[in-house]
Amino acid sequence: MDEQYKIFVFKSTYLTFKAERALKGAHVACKVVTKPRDISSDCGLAIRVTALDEPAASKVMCDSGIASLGVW
Amino acid sequence: MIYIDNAATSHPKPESVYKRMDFVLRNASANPGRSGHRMAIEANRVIFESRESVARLFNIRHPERIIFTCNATAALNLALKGLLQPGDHCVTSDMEHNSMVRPLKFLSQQGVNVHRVQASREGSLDPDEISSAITCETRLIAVTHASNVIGTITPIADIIKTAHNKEVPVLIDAAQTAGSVPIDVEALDVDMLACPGHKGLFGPQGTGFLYLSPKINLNPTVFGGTGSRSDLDRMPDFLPDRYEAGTLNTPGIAGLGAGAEFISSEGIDIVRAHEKHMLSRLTGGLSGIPGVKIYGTKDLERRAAVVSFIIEGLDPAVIGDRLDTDFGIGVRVGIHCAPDAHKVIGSYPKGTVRMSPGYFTTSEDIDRAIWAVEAIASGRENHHYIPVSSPRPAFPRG
Repeated sequence: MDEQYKIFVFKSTYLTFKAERALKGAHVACKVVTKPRDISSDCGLAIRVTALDEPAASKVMCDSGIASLGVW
Repeated sequence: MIYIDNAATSHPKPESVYKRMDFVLRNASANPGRSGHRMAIEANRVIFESRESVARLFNIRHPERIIFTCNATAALNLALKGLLQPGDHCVTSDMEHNSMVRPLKFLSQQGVNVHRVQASREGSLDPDEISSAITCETRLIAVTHASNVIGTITPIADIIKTAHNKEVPVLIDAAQTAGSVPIDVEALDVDMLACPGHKGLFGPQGTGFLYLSPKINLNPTVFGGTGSRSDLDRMPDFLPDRYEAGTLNTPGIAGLGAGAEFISSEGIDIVRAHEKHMLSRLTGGLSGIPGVKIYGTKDLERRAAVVSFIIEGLDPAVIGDRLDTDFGIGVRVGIHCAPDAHKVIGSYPKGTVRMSPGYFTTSEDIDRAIWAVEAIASGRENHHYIPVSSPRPAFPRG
């Protein structure tokens, strides 16, 4: 895993895009990406932020009530 | 042509619907939820935004509980077949469309007991009668929000209250009201709401949805790929994926989202007021024509924008054909996929002529329709129409 980035994984695609909207609304740079295979065998999507932005991203999700399955 | 068949499918659509669909079909119609490239992700965003737009219009707190389907029929099938099991009891009415009647008939052959409450001659359902029909085996009350034949609006707030007092959920078929009559899902405490996308919501055909409250858990009725939890050989346990197997209709859902946004921006109360105005003008004009009989309630507060009528001595099919051929007016005739409702109002088996104005129907459209019916009823062949009402607004809006 590239240590410059952190990957937020969610239960559903719906939640992934809900998180993207919340992050963009809070001006936290993010990108929707395919879930890396070493995180999950699922073929779904995830959200990537820089390692530097991870605390801000976590706070946005917490404030928005969006539960992630974890951060890698 | 003058289109007065919005109860079948709305036409025209707001300009924003055409534009959104064109844009999505050209730029974002990769497979949503599957691939991870930019166009697929954009397709996903389109689906997400449309779900949010629909949720806003209906005041739905949990947008992920909106299940996109290909029409209201598919939504009703999912609700009924996903919930009812042999031995269960279901209360419904004799004003239902075949989209409710036929899956319930199928389920009754599988051992579900279906009880049909009788409506009045005006198509009204009495909440007390529905409450009286509930037994300890009742698993669901399934009713239309408004008759597709005569437009009578069902008092769903009272029915939901009385059903919830007995801990029975309610399925509302909003085929004739979604986008035309305000529905506040949270305030009404709706359990299940089935809607077409292509009628009052201004989406294209091939769209619709079923809303499920957090209290409702259905068995999936269609199984397949969702792009999520692909490692499992069963459907995911989370929504909306659990009930959305197979590739979604991305351009169609984009159009549905644009339609919902158009209504939110115009204001659904404005839409309802306009349709009521058209309804009033139409019923007022038709009722003055000798030989014309209008069915349903005269109380327009309790009526969606649907008018069924006959001309004594004339086959509705002939009237519909003449309206189209001689006057360029599109309506629907027959029994409108609701034979039992026609039995209730006394128009079975010939049926009626149904005119259903929409938000883009103008006063002049209505006046022309009244004039055409008057000409047909009086046997006149003269087709020279003299307009008497206000000019058409900019058209289409949006």
